[in-house]
Amino acid sequence: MDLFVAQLLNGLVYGMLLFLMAAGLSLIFGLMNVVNLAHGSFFMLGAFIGYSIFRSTGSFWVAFVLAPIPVIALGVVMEVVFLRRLYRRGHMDQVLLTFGFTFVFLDLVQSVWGRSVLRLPVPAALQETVQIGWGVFSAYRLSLIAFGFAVAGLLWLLLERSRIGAMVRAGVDDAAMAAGLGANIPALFGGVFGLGVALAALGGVAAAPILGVYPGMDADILIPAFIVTVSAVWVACAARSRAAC
Amino acid sequence: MGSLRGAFAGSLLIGICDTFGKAYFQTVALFLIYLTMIVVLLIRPQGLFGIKYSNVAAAPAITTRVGAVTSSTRVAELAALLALVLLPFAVGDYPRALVSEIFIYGIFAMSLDLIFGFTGLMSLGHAAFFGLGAYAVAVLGAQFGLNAWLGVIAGVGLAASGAALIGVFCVRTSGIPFLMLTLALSQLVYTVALKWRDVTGGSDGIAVAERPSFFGLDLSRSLPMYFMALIFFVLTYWGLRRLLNAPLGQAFIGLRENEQRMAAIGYRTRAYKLLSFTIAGALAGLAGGLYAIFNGFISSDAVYWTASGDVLIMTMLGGAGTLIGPAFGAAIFLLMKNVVSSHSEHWMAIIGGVFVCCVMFFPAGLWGTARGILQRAPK
Amino acid sequence: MKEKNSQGSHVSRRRFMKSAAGAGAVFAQALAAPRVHAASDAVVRIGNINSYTGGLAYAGENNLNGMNLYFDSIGWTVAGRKIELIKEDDQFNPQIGLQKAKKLIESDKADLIIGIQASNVALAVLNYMKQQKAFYVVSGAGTDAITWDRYPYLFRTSISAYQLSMPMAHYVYDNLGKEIVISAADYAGGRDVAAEFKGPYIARGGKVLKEIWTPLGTQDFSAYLTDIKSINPPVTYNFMPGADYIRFIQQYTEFGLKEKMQFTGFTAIDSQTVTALGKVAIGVMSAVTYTDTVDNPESKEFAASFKARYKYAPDLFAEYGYVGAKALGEALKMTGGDASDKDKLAEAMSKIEFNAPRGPFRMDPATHNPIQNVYIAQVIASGDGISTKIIHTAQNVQDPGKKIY
Repeated sequence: MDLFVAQLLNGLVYGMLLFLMAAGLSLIFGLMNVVNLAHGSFFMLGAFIGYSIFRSTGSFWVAFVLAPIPVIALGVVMEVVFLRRLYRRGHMDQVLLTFGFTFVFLDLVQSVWGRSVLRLPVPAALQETVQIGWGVFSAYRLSLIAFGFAVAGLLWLLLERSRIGAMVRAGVDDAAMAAGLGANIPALFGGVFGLGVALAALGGVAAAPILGVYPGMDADILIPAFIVTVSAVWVACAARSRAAC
Repeated sequence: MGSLRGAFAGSLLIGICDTFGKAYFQTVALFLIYLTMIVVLLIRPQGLFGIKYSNVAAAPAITTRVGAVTSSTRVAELAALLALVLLPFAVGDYPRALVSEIFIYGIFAMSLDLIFGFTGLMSLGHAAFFGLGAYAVAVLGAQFGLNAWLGVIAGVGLAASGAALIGVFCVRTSGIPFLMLTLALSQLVYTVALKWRDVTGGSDGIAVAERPSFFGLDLSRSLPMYFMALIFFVLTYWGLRRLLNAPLGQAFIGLRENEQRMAAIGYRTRAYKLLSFTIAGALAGLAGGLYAIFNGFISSDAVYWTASGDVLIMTMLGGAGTLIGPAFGAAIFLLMKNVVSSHSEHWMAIIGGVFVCCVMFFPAGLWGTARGILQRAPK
Repeated sequence: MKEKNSQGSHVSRRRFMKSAAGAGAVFAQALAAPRVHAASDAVVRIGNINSYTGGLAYAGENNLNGMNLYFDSIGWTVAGRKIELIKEDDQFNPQIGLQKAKKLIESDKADLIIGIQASNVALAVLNYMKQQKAFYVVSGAGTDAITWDRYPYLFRTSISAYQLSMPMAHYVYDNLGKEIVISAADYAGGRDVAAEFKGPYIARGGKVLKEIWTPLGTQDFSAYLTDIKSINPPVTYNFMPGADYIRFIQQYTEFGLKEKMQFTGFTAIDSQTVTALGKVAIGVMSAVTYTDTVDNPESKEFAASFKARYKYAPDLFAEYGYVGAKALGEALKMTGGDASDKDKLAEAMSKIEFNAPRGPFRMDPATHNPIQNVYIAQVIASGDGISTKIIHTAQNVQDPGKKIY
């Protein structure tokens, strides 16, 4: 039983890291119908930029807050300059485009930061460990679980309880209709894409103390996150009433 | 919004499954995950992310068809064939090998074009059939000392039956669910290739025992290898073009254009989709078998979904729905992969940049766009 | 194409444009007729394959830096002939490694291939090299099977899985514990390292409680670590390649296992464990052939000149590269710079013997694997930073060159 609880918590921690990726992936897919293979690259860029900020400021928290900003900028530029022109062209063109970008970003990372594995240490305040069952959990891992729940809650509030959320939902159901009713669809799309990228970059910084920072972490996280985004189906269905699905 | 809730619960589910799988079911963990995914997709394909797909274009709307054979295309084709026959005499071993590989991948990409470009079904699992063909040659050779050509035949049969079996499940859906199902099913094949180490060698791969001869010619030399690949390439191209101009091929194209209308006028659409998928699978198996002979080695990487992604990208680069276009796509892709990486530290940025440019400036693929320009030009 | 400065390369616009323009020319060149090597007898063409992307990228880069350091020291000439090094990236993928080997042998007309850190790539390439009867120097990959066939033109200048695992197994049994859990990456290298530890350990009377196979590229090891914790062995033996290893050690420490069960490993002490992990690595014990604290004049000189050239301390991968290049260089000196007569070169390689940074290095003419000292080393705290300490030395360990476990 002790072992079971420990493994369950391990699964939750890893699940939360996946969630930060999958949330962005499925938001972007759900609203914009875009399959974004470069999402893992934003995760990786977040981690590397976080590492550099940490090196120059010495604070994990500064890195955590600031690292997503340049990544968001990069993501929004990618959306506005490239992706936007492809919305009418079907998924495969988007896949090809974003696949191309994964190469570009990986090369960028290797050129700037080299090929080594870098390490972002766990912030001092969260280094304490707790014994739960057979597992030993650092406060950092446990707070990751809390962070995941918080992000999920905030996203839910944003989407279900705010005006912007209403527009996003309207956009998901019928973009043309929503535009007709006065929603600024391009801005909305840019905003959602930025939000997705921000989640990925935050995930990258948050994961860095556990998974390390290295070129190639983009593909390593994208693959399971991709699977999650797919299996989201079943859970989405189970969570609602069957008829509504 | 279903997708958020789904993503949240899905992440936790996969995280926990992954953890317990690692701890208690080391060998079958991956298998279970993909199996779950398949079941999900079969039961609720339309519920994916809680949105509807009917209004989503499955494939780029290319309305071009394989043109009727006119005298001018025939002249162009003969000229191209002549050039390909003469080419190996002008170059050394390595370029010959490179072009042989392009022919083999050309067959693979054209086979995907049949299902993707012409029948309108996006498959992200095509490498599974390539892998079945290749492993048939390598494994049957290693275990039973079977001649490689018999291995190729067995591989084509295996790939065709594999495609038929997988197809039975997949053709129930279309669009993104089809893509995901083919992905998941091919990952099952990958898991077997990866985990059945005693037979397949897993990620370390397996060597093909020896190279067979080709009508008495030694395939370990580059020239016979080149012509072997060329012959199969031309045969595949010729066969596929015949097929696409025949009523059966027209029916496939009809499915892409408007499946409901095809159903309304009495076509059993699923059976046609299944047939297209099976033919494509068999040809991919042929390509895989030839590749095993050519390369002398096969590892589980060749069946991984990124390999399916690669061939999809070759098809897109050249132009889906243009038949010969994907072969050009294969040429560009392989040249970039094999040549650019040897000459530049920044080969990845170059490859990525080329993809981005292609997709931005050649919406119908390189060949599709070029042909569009040629056709519009005054005669 | 001499690789002069791969360390710390930055994207410059000019360089990028240059390489982009080069790519176009390259397409044309690739299809053009083979160059006539009129001057081929004057140049020794050395093909190099390493993993420069993927989890072993840093190992590949260090290995290359070690080679370049040696070739620099002899001015890129041996017995009056110029040396040319052509570098290729296998991306830690056997399929790609094989393609690169074909390219080097068939297109670049390389006289031989040196390098390869990944065991699975090394094995895939071996088969092709045999077909081509090409000369092959492995300066990394430790998979045992590579020397079992006794391919006459194959030499390994690094280590075998047996060479490090066997002394470690004896040391662990004698000093650390009679029961153990073994974790290894699920690929050729990991399987070999685990098997070559398990064999001698059981033969001496030890008991393996569990073997854990982690897929290559595993991100989160927490499930395995919790499992190990619940089994609670006195000591563990672990091996994963490159970046996987760093993550594993990091999480092993995070889970508090290091205090309870001694971490022992296989080539676990490299530049990454020292620089990336820092104090997290303290306590890690591993069998190695080289650390920068090996105490002999060659080691000191090597570490000093490496640091002067690359601004960081060399690790065992760098030393593999340096020693591999040096062994090859010495052999070429004996043949008068002639790499075309493979039998002569193989005979020269078999006689190679010198004092390397790792200690005495002697090529075993029977197995083509070096006879050398194996050190059991441990990462220790030293002042503000960390250092390594050699706690046990197994003298002149010889690889059996055949399957025994």
